Amino acid sequence: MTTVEIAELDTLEAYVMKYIVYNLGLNIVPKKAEFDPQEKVWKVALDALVPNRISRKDGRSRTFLYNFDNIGVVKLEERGENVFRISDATKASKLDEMITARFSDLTTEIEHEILIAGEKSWGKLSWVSTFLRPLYHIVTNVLVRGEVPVRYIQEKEYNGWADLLIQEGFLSGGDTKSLSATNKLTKLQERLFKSHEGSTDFDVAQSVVGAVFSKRYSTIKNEMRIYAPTSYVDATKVYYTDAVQYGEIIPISEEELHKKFIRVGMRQVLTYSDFSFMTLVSELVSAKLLERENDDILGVPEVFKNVMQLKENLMTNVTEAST
Amino acid sequence: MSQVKSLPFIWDRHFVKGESGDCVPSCVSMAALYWKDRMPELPLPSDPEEWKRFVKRTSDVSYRGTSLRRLMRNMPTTPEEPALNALSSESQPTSVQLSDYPVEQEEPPTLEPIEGHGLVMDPKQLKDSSELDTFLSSDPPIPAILVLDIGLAQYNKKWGSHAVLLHSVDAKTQRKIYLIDPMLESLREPFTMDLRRFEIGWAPQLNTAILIYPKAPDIRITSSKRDYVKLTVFMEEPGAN
Repeated sequence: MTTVEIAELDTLEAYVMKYIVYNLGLNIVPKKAEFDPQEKVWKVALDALVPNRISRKDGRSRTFLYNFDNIGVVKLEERGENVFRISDATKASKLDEMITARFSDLTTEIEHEILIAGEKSWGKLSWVSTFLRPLYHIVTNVLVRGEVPVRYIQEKEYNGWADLLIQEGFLSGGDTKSLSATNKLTKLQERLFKSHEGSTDFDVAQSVVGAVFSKRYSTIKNEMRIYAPTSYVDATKVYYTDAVQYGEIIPISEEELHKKFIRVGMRQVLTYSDFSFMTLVSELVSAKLLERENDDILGVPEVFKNVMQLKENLMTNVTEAST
Repeated sequence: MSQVKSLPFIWDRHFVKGESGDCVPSCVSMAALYWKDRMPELPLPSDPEEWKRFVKRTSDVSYRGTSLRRLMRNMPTTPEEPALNALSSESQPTSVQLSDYPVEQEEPPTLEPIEGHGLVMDPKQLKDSSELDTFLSSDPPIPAILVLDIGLAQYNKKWGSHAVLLHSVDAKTQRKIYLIDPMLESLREPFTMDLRRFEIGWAPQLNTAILIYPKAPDIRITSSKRDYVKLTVFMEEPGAN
């Protein structure tokens, strides 16, 4: 018989740490326990200290540390002298949401810059054209027929879509019996035709959808809850967030980018294996948001130059751990 | 180091490399391979490639890092043993099966050691570093994964948590600790740290040591109720399921 007898720390924080190790994850650390006289429970707040190692293909790497404090809590109620019960604790899925939201807050400006940089291209990407299909239908019909009877777009599948086009100034006549093109849409059409950037009505529709996706991204994602096309923005954002921290366009492997992309939101776990992620990257290369050189993924200098100006804001919750 | 007890770790057979975010699954893999060598009857693969795949699919898929629950759920096993996370084709959408990353299930939280595939994962928050030698002095020695902030330990600068496998500790003469770091493959030997500096990096992680040992009637880990121990913390009502 092997019996190993050990002595453990005898604090509430130590028990909360045990809870963390079993159930949450090792990037979560407990703060000091504090008694809440109103709830009559001890509370141990949880922080997330997330190392972000940025590894270049040439082997060089730097590590940064995201510090997201107070993202959860473990509550302990006293059940007798020195006897406590964990009565409530932030769930793992809730912690994921909290950390992802904090990361999103931190990178809002970078996201905004990427949305602008991709404006001309978003409408050409496959997830955008699949999930924002009603926008193409409306724009194409308006361009071909001159106007579209409102009854067509009163059907459930068009709910909200025409409003986006009206609010962005591409269509007019939402309260009347038909929708028609505005000067903005007509001028866009003329410009594309003249500059040979597009020669068909569908080219114009792609351009309009790109502009709507760029300007109304938050509505599409958070209110209309259309998530698949946000993968393009997330993957691009993950690359440039690292590049900004590193301070230069870094060559990284696709595997590395995929790994970090998955961290941004668990929804992607359902959608992307590294097999399908390659196509997503290729689309971003086609959209001139990323570059691919042999096996390396690189940033586009023009995009990098713009996002690099946002470094100061990003670094409010990020410190460099090692070089 | 001659009189210091150490983990009989064989680099060519037990070492599993980790990369960014992979340190805990790598350490678990090393501990599992160590036990598989000693107890071939354990339903664990001995092929290092299986363990590399385990490391890949359990590395940080979320910012909060890896939990023991996730590790045990994804632990590889011998073909005749069903994996704990085996996904039935009827119960899961196709996209999940295509993914390398199993969906995180929300399960009732626990404070009890996690068992599966013949192994137990048992995290302890040790009183201090003098407890570490206990695992190495037992027969057989028990692998302990130590969680520390290695940046804080070495440079007084926070780097976040990192997991290493305890190789040996010389608390009396040299005051050194010897650690197997999954990120330092090319070293091919334990790296040495001053014990005092180790303690500085270990403290923010509440002196966490994750013990990995076979579920066997002749191995027992007890947290002693020595004189200073007063607290009892539990999750469920006593007697509840």
